[in-house]
Amino acid sequence: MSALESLISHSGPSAEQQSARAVLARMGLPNRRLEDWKYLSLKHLENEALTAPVADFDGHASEYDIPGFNAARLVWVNGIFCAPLSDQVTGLTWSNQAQDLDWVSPELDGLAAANRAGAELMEIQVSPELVMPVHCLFLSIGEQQAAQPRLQWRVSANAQLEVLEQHAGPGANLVNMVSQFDLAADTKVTRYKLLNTTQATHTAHTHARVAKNADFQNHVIDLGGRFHRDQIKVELSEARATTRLNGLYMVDGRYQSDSHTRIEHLVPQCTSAQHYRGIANGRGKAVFNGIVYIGKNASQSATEQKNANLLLSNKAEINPKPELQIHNDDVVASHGSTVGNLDDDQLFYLRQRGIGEDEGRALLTFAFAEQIAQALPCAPLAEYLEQRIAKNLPMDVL
Amino acid sequence: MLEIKNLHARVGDKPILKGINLSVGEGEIHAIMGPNGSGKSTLSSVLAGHTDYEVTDGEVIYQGENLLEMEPEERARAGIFLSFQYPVEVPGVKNIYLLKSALNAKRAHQGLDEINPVEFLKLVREKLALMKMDEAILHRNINEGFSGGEKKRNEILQMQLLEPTLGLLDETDSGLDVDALRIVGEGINHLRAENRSFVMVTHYQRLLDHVKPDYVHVLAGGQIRASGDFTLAQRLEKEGYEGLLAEA
Repeated sequence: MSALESLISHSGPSAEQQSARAVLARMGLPNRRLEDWKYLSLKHLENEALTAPVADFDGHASEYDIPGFNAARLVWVNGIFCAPLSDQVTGLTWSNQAQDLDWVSPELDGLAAANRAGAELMEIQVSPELVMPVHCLFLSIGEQQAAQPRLQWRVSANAQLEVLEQHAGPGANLVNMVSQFDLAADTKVTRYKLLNTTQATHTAHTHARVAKNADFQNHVIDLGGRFHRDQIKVELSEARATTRLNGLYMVDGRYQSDSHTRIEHLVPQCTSAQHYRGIANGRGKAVFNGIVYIGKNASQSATEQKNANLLLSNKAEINPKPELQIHNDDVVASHGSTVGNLDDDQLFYLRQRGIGEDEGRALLTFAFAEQIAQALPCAPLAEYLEQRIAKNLPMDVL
Repeated sequence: MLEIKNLHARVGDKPILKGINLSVGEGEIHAIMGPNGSGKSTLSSVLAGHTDYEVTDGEVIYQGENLLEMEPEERARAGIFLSFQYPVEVPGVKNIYLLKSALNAKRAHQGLDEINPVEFLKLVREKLALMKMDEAILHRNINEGFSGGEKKRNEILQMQLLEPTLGLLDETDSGLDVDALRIVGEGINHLRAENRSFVMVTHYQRLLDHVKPDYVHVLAGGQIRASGDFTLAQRLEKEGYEGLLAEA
């Protein structure tokens, strides 16, 4: 049995789920013939039967805490929400009875269809009473299970949400996630997504809609794994909505990382910024595809996109693809994308100060990633990330 | 301390140094002056071991060792410091990290333990005060967003801390206003010592008004064409390179 057949068989009973199931059966899982899947494929799932997930975890969720990041913890095991392991916190309520926003259409691709067909929706309401950061821990345990969490965040006017979405655990499962963020006027959401699963196949669709004066910040950190794909779409749908999408992907060995972003400016006076950085070593492969769409009516838009990539091995591969689609003249837009090796002049400068070549290379590699860590508006997380980056290097650079 | 004999070097296929001979004794300050493109900066880069340059002939003996066989970091640890004409920006690495690593690399070479943090900070503060620099500069990324003057001061600050045996100053005066030039000049003078030598590469005389050299050499076409004492620099100022080289 293939992963596709397994996912079809896991579909739920509702009319929407059955209709998504039909879409999945028609489209199949994405393959390299699709433009969006040109460089990396899910071929390894072709002969992998997947079982329905089991929330079986006998460890302590606190093992996965980030030192200094004091947050209310919500825990999912193999995509299943575990209330007994989760904290109750003022300002946050959840329900499994909500109407799906359906922003991530099953027609988008087979993974979106599979999630819609098989997942149970959880809606989390955020009110202005929420003052504590939230730590959503998604554990992957066991193997060949299909974990399909589906979340929808409703952030009500004037509320603020700081959320760490951490994917961890040793499991060799498929984690196919959908997240929807509905930001009402005057809200602020800061989301950190930390991908720390080396064995899982992780695929995710995120869709955020940002209303008047609201701000959506997303920081994705991919520390490297078998297959990680993160696809995000942000709609700036009312005046003075803003977004920032930052990302760091690091692949070594045969790890693969696939980042796709799409920002849509649909009305005047919205601002967006993006900064993604990637490092590929060994036979690692990475993709960055960043689309910014500025619609006909979106005058006085401002957007900035930066993407920098470091290739440390001649067997590694990075495919950057920045795309600006601008349909209005009254726009300030900039973008730049680079792929390169370590800078010889920087290395010589360090060596001239007595720093050995290996240490200099390690230091410059750290420095390259550090620019994303420095931009995290959360000191404990920045420090954690710095330590993780440093750990992969041959020298002590902290 | 430093003996340069018949040094030839090139970048790619282009020969730049065409037989340099120079002897620098302990405690001496040598100024290398010359028109643009004469090979001044190449000379300091070759001495520091920059990988863009290929030495095709000649030798360089530094403290009895064959300098050209040493890696750039080995030269640095052995006491050679290059103050860069264009100090390199290194985003993501804090200045303080560079200062500490550089100092500890040198100490390790001398068989000393790493400096303790309190002592280090005290030492750095002392040098900052000397260079009239703010402590905030320690926590900024190396040279990132620094003005031209700040970058040059940062070079001399590092030199103060590392106390080299041979300082190579590449166009240290370029891009400095009058006040910064004075501070940088004082910074260099403060390091003058019997066992420390300097080779200053410069296009103009103005740095020499602050740091008086023992010897002045005129470099043109990849060779030293004239040598003398401080008065040679004064003649250059009056006659210009063309006039002086026509006589030589």
